[in-house]
Formats: sequence, C-alpha cells, structure tokens
Amino acid sequence: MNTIVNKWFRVIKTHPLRNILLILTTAIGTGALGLSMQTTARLDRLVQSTTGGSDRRIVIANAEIGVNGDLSWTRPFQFSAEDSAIFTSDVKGIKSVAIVNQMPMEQIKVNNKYWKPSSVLGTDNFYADVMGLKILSGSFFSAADVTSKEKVMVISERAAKTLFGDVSSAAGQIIAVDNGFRMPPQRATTGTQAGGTQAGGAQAQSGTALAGGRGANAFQQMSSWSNYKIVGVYSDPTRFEADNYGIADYITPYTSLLPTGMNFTMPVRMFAARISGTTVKNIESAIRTDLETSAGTKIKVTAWEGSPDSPGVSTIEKARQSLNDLSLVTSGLGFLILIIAAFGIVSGLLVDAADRAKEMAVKRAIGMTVARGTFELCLRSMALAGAGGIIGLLLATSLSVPMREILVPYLTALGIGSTDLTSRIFEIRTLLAPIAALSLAFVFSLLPAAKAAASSIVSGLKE
Amino acid sequence: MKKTLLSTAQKVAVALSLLSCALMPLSAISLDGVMNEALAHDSTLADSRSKLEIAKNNLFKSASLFGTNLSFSGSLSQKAATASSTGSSTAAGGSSGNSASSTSSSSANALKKSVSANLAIPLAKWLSLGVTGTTDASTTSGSVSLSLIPFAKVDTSAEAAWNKALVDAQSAIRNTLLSARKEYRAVLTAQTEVAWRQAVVQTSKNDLSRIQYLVELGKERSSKEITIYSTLISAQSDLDTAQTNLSTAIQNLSLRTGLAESALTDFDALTIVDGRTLVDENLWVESSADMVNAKANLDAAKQSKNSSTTLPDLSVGADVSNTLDWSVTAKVSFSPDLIFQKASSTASENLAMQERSYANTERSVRTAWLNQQNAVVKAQTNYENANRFVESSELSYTETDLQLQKGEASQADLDLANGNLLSAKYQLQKAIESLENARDQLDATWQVSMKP
Repeated sequence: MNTIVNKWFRVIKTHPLRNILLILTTAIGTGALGLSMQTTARLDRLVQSTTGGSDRRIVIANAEIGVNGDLSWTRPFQFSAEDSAIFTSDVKGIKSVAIVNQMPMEQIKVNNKYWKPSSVLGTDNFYADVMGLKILSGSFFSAADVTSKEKVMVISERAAKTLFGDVSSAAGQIIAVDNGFRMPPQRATTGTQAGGTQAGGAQAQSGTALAGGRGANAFQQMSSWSNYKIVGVYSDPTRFEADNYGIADYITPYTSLLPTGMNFTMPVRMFAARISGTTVKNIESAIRTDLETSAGTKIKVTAWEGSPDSPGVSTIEKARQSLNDLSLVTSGLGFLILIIAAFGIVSGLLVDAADRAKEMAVKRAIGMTVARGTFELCLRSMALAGAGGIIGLLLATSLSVPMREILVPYLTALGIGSTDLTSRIFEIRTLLAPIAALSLAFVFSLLPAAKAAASSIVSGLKE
Repeated sequence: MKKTLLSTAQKVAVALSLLSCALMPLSAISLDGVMNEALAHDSTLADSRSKLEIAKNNLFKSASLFGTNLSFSGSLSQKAATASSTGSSTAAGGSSGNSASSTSSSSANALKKSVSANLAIPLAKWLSLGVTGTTDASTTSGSVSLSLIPFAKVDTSAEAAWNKALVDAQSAIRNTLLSARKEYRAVLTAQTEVAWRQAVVQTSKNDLSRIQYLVELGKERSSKEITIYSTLISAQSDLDTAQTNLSTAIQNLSLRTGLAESALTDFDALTIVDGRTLVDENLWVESSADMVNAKANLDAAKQSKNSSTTLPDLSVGADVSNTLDWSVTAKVSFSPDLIFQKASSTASENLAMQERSYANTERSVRTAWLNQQNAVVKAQTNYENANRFVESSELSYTETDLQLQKGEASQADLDLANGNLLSAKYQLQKAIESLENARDQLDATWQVSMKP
C-alpha cells in the first residue's frame, strides 16, 4: 500500500503544476458525470416510482371517448365483476386487474370533526397490487370484505396523519361517512332518528342537524351516514403518481355502498390494470376481441394510461419521456466533459512519454517488454485519472443537495412535486463516474502509450 | 510432430536470416542500427538481464507475505485396546505456524478420521498470524494465534542484491552501447587503413616495376631494386596486418550485434557529432556504477552497524481458540554477546572499511573523469592536426597532379602523394575514432542512470 502511495506521489511530483491541472480537469469531468449519474439515478427512481417502471397502470372502460373528450358509456354496462379474472388469465401482458368505481362521499366525521374528503375510490381487493400500494399499518381489505359489502376503508398515510395524527393509531378507527344520499325520514315529526340505525344515534343527530335545514322543511330530508372501519393505511405514493393514476386517499370496497342484506350486484364499468411488456392499444384490442368473442356482440372498450377521472389523457407518457430525455442529456453532458478530460490526460501522457523516453529505453534495454512499458505508461495516466476521479466523486457527493434543488423547477414544469424527488447523499451509481474516468484514461492512453513504449531503444536513450 | 514443427521453425528462421543477409547490403549500416542490434544480441547484457530477473524473483520471495504457508493433514486411527489415542502435529512456515490435531476414544475398533488445516501468515518480519482448524466426525476446533518479535532483524540482502543487479544492468547497457560504437568505428578505421595499405603496396609494386626496368637499362643499380623490393614486402606485410585488423574488427562487431560478417561491409561514414552534451564532474561521479555500488555498500554497512547491537531475544505470542480459551506467552533469551557486543564491533569495522572504500572509489572516479577530460583534449588536438595533415596532403596531391600534367613530376611522385593522402586520411579517421570514443565516455546521452 505504501509503495502504491509513494509511486502515486512520485507521479504527481514529476510535473506538479501540469499534473494538478490534469487532475482538476478530470475531477471536474468526473464530478459532472457523477452529478449526472446522481441525477439520472434520482430520475430513474422517480420514473420507477411514479410510472411503475416498465409496468404501466391503465384504466379500461366500457365506453368510447366522444368528440368532446367525455366517455360515452354503454348502457347497460357490458362489463361484469368476473371479467377481471378473465382479463388476467386470457389477455397476455395483464398482470393484475381491479374493479374501480367512483364513490360518492360528501363529507366525513372523525372525533366530532367534519372533513371534506379529497378523493374517494371504490374498488376490490386487487387494487393494491395494481397500484403497487405499500401497506404501512393493518392490511388491504379482502375479497370477503368486497363480497360481503363490508364497510371498511383503507386510507392514505397523509389522510391518517391528518385525521388521527399518526399512522399507527389509524387502523381500527371508525370514520363516519356521508355518502350524500338523501332519503325521506321515516317519522318526520320526531326528527331524532338518523338515516338508519346502523349509523348510530350520534351520527344521526349530527346528520340531522347538518342537513335538516330550517323552517317547516327542516327534517324532510336526512343524510345517509355510515360507519366505515379503517382496516389499513398505505404509504403515500408520490403526488404525481396519486394525481395521474387517480389513487384516492380513501379506498373502500366498491360494493360497500350497498346495505349488507341487499341482494343487488353493483354494476361494473371500469377496471384498473397493471400491464407489462405490451402497449395500451394492444391490451384494448385484446380485451375487445376477447369480450366480443364471448358475448357475440360489439363491445365498447377504451383503455388509457392514467386516472379514471381523465379519460384518454396521459400525462404519464410525456413525463416518462421527459424524465428519460433529461437523464440522457445530463449523462451525455457529463460523459462529454469526461472525454475532454481524457484528451487532456492523453496529451499529458504524450508529454510524459517524451519526458520518460530515456527511462523507458533503459528499462526496455534491461528486459522490460513493450506490453509492460505500455501498461506502465497507462498506469501513470490512470493514477492521474484515479486522483481526479476520487476528487470528482467527493465533489459530486458534496453537490448532491444543491443539484436536487436545481432539478426541482424542471420537475415542477412536468407536474412533479419537489417532494416526489427522493434525495440520497450518496448514490451507488455515482461510482460509475470514477470507473468511467479510469476506463477512459486507460483506453485513450493505450495507443499512444504502446507507440511510445515500442519506439527504438537507442532513439529513446538519445532523448 | 514437435520435431517437425521445430524443424519448420528453424527453416523459417534460416530463410529469414538469409533474406535479411541478402537485403542487408542494399542499405548502409548506421551506428544507431548497430547499437540497436547490440542491445538485442549482446550476451553480456543478456546475462545482466537474467541476473536482474533472478534478483527480482529473490526480492519478491523475500517479502514477508511470501512466507505464507497453508498445510493440510489428515489421519486415520483405530484402537485395538480398550483405550487409545492418536495424535499428529505439523508445523509449517512462519514463526507462528503450528497446528495440532488429535482424536481419542475409549471404544475399541472405532475408526477415527480427522483432518486439520494450518495457515501461517507472516505479516512482517516481527509479526505473524496463525490459524489452525481441526475437525473429525463429531467435533470441530480451531484457534488463532499472533506472534510478535519486537527485535527481529530485518534482512535487506535481497533488496541490496536487486539494487546491485540493477546498477550492473545499467552499467552493462552503457558498456554494450559504447563497445558497439567503438567497434563500429574500429571497423571503419580498419577499412581506411586497408585502403591506405593497399595503395602503398600498389605504389611499391609500381616502384619495383619501374626500378626493374631502369636496372635492365642499366640506369639504376640492383641494390635499389632490392631496397624497393624490401619496401614492397614490408608494405604487403602491413597490408596483411591491416586486413587482419579489419577482419578482427568485423568479427568483434558481428559477435556484438549478431549480424553476419558478410553483411558488415557497407557502413555510414564516420563523422564528428556536433552538439554533444558532456557531463560535468559531479554528474560523472553521480552516474558512475562504481560509485553507486560503493554508496550502496556503505549504506548497507551503516544499516548493519545500526542494527548490530545485540539485544535480548524477545518474543510474545497470543492464542485464542474457538471456545474462547486463550493464552499469552512471552519468551526472552540472552546471549553472551549482550555483554561483549562483538557483532557490533565487527559491524563497526566493516563500516570503517566501507567508508575507506567509498573514499577511494570516489577518488578514482574523479581521477577517471580528469583522465577522460585530458583524453578528449588530446584527441581533439590530434584530430585538428590530422585534419591539417589531410588538407596539406590533398594540396600536395593536387599540386603533384598538376606537375605531372605539365611534365614536371612523375607518376611515382603522384603515387607517393596519393599514398601520403591516404595515410593522412587514415590518421584523420583514427583521430576521429579516438576523439569520438573519448567523447562517448563523457557524453550525457550514454550515462545510463535510473532509479530502481
């Protein structure tokens, strides 16, 4: 180890100013590449987390997109709950499918506080797989919950923190939900009973007070309040992901709107699916063909990548492309700077080879092979590149945080929030920068070094 | 098959050799070409390379870690009686290398197998690590030991031998190059001498013929013919000597470069090299192989003196087993030299000798530099004189040629002038050879010095 360090210092000491400048040039190149690698790693992670990486999350609707961009639904709906299993098994490229329905939820009440829920979704037990939700506490509701129309709910981490202060205390809590259904009261004169005994007296009172109005019609209509039990809390996806895939903060079984005893099948008109290794259009065609073959009639099917609320609109592809382009540009720039630095190293090697012509000639005269001489000269370049690489790596690591801030405006323009960009002080991928510096120094030095090492011994001695 | 291959390879080599010989006369042999060939073929230099490689191998082997040793041993045992035990032990490499394996049982006729491994790693001359493991069918045991010898003597002989081999190799390069240059010039000088001697012989033959004719006419006496005949014999003898010298010079050069003698016919003309950088006295001393060796010997003697004081032999060892049993051992031993310090006294005397040797070497190297300077000055004077001699001879030859055309001089006079001119050219060639050889010794280009 000491020998290596001593040799390294000897390399630097031969031409201190020139070598230090070369090291600095390489350091800047490596630093730039390191920063770009760091950025690329962040962006790749962002692409991975926001768009699911190579997987895509799509919406499949029993409708066509009209000229005004709205969905033109087929009525009665031609989809059924059983189709999700058929899609998963029959259509190549579909990994999992979940039923999605928009759920009405006017307001919620927790600990005597009323809240307006930000977003609500009715779905089945496969939704967590489709969207890749990570459960922090409790569990996602089960197939049995869906079948038995249980009033259970899975909420987001941010909703849990807002409503209950922390994630751990959310599971098992009850949320009173006002679905917004207005029903005539059973006994208009009393006005003390809420819409159904299930909701409980307190909720009923509140509901009455809230929706009752004043005057003669005060108790003619009553809110439909239900108690939902929180069974799980999932980790917040990035805002970009939540907004663009329509991942709601409140997720309930799509059947939970119905009373437990009611023998009624909820209509199904939309699915969310996770697909891989195929295009959205292919999936759309495959589903249409599959359904039309089995039904013997024309089926309306539209699929798009994005949210159920925004039919046909996919900002994800654009974001994915933009992020990939940004990664490519930053990597390319860093690599370019490093190549320029490598040219500097090669020019240094040529000067070095000329300076050491006599030494190399003597060494060759006492038995050193041309290959060994080439390696020795290359090693010198690599020593400089290695020093520059280490400094560049430190530079890139120290500039990690400011670089993140620089990226934020670009991401905001893509609709990605600054919080979506995860930050690590050290990205493993940054190590590629010094490795690239060393490799480039070796490759670029090889030919000039071989030429210098293979020159005539006597000519070398005369230098 | 191998024989056929070798035979084919030999044929190709011979064919290439013949081809190169056939092509060689097409271009004149340059001094640089001769030096390159000499570096590639000189046997002395090849020997130096081999010695350097041997020294390098020894240096590598002398590294502490090279003493690392891994050994395995296995044993099978069976008890004939009611109780028996077997044991095996091995010690290998490094001061801490030790291993032991043993199995024992009280049941008769049970075949016991055990395998043990031992790894000894000398991390430094004063520190070594040992790892031992033993396993049989039922149990596995192992231990790690560390051994410390604070006053262990460091052996630097391999490093010193490597440095010396390196200096010798550099010296061999210089000798090879300068010898090749010298021999190249010797061939050219010998060629010039042969040309001169041939002209002298021809002149003597012409003289003899002319005198014989005059004797027949009665215009010269026979004694004159005898004198001229004697001159011819002497010239012929000189020519033979010159041809022998040329042949010897070519043989030497052939031996040095590996080139065929038949190829050594056409050489670039010998000229004075301008713009040489001659070394000053300090650089001469610094790059002298004798001085470098003397300095290395002196340094070794100093180091030996510094470490020659006899100290108590102290060793400390620590051992930890896999069951966390541990032991620490320390050993100290004393020798009579602790009191008499004879080893130190011997080292002091060796150092004094090396100091004297160093001073003597420096004196002789500095004297050599002065001698070399004087040689260059003398050679320069000779060269200038020889140059003037050539100029005079050329003038004389031109005048004689003009006189011959006017009828004022004879062919014999012109032959004599030609002989003188060739003699002058030979003298000039010789002066150039001496001057260039002397300057080669002082030329910085051929001071081969490299840090190990």
